Amino acid sequence: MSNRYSQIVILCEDRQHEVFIRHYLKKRHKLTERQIRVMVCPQGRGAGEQYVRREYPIQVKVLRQKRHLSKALVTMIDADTMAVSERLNQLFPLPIETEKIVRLVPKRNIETWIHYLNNDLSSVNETDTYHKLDKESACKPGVEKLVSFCIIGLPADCLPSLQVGCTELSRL
Amino acid sequence: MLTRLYVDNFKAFVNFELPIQSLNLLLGTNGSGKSSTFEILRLLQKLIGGCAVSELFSLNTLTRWQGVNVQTFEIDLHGNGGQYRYRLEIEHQPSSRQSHIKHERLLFDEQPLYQFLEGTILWYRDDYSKGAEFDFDWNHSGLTTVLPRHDNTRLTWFKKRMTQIYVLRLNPFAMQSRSELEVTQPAEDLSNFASWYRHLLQEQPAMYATLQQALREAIDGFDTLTLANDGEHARVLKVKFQSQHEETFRFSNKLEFRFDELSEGQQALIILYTLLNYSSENDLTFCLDEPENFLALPEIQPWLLQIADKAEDEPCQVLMISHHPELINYLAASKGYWFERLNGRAVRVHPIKSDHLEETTLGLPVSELVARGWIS
Repeated sequence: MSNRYSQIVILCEDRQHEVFIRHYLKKRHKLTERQIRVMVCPQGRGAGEQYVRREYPIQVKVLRQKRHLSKALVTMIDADTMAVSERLNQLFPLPIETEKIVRLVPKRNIETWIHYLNNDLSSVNETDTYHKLDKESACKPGVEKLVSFCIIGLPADCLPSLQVGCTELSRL
Repeated sequence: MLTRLYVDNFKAFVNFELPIQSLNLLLGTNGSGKSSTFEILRLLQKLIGGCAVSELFSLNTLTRWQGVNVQTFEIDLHGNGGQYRYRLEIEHQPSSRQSHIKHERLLFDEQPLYQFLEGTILWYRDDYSKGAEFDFDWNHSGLTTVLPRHDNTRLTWFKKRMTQIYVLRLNPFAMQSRSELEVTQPAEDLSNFASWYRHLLQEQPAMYATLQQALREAIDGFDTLTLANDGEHARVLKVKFQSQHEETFRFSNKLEFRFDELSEGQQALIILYTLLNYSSENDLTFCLDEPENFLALPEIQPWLLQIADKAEDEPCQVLMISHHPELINYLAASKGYWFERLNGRAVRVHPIKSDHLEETTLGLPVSELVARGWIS
């Protein structure tokens, strides 16, 4: 199969999630838009959690049955007020060790990660709510920092959900 | 970038206001005013570029049910370190079927740069002190008379910025491969793409390599897009393909076609990737009316993701009209504006709110709501 066709599926709640993941894949794995298929919840973040939970088992099944076409699945769902482990358990079936299935669960939500990565703030916590960005692409400097963290290692004060996320990203 | 458009008493636009972001998707049923919004931008651009009022704004453009003879247009534009507001009032005289500029004004951070009132122009310098005052033809925008000077840089910036609004409605059936001369502006249907591309190569030579690479990824077998000599001044836009199979390899390892010999989809891809690779160092606005027409389904999302990135990463504002589920489901919840004319009344527009969608959609994609006529 030519590399002109979709190989990696991004399944996520909204465009902010999608821009974050896609920029990571471009910077870390040199993928192009043509190799990525994006599945963003059409209604936006509000209905996104249900959408991701509904679509996730379908996409895992597709990945397992079409290994020659599809190579990886990257999913993102906000933890909101739940624990990261609880959210991860909602994404069923669980990936087996060799599968390139990444489940990212930012807590409290993606803005927490972006605020932490963009501003280098150890004071950022996973309980408070951080404002949405005016432009989704404003997350890109933070994503590039995440790429370097994934290569050189995470700082000691890293957000716990981001640590879990980095481990997940190493499956790719 | 453009931040607001206001229109009153033009066709079905009455006291209409559209806030504009860096990336915008205009949605709505047929006849709801989406393309007319682009048309208004085009008309204002042509007026400031030198066309006569009577050529652009006929009596028929008055709102039929209003009974008022003055049309009003406003453009808010952020750039050059401040906020511009351009206002135009056109007065029509139904008895003589004539129209003229009643009032035209340009403000910068709420300070006057220019005024054209009842046939008299008054210029202001960059420091807002009064400049020349003189009478002028009511049938033309006074901005056409502006010549660049050291003390009117804000005015000339605005005038140039208005030329950087590209209203495009791609029509591959009208495409011409032959270019007699370079043109700095593409035609609305891009029929003169060969001539515009010729200009772009001169203006932005760095674009050539990135565009060719993007097209190699987008079009199977694509090799290069070239302008071949055709007489002393004319050029012909040609596309070379790598021969991939023995039967096509017989005569040469490259097959060459005129641009208009390509399929409509291939022509559209080449044009859309040219826009994507257009260097927007200077603030510009693309108004793209159904850009995905003619594209195969696998081609739409890769281009869409990249144009959305461009709109946010570069000073390149993008407004798109589309009825396609790929665009609707990707952008409507965050960048969508819904146009409507309830019971044939005036055009109204409102942003599509994702929290509103959550309550009303019951899990249906936005495109499905549009298809069912359930969105409002």
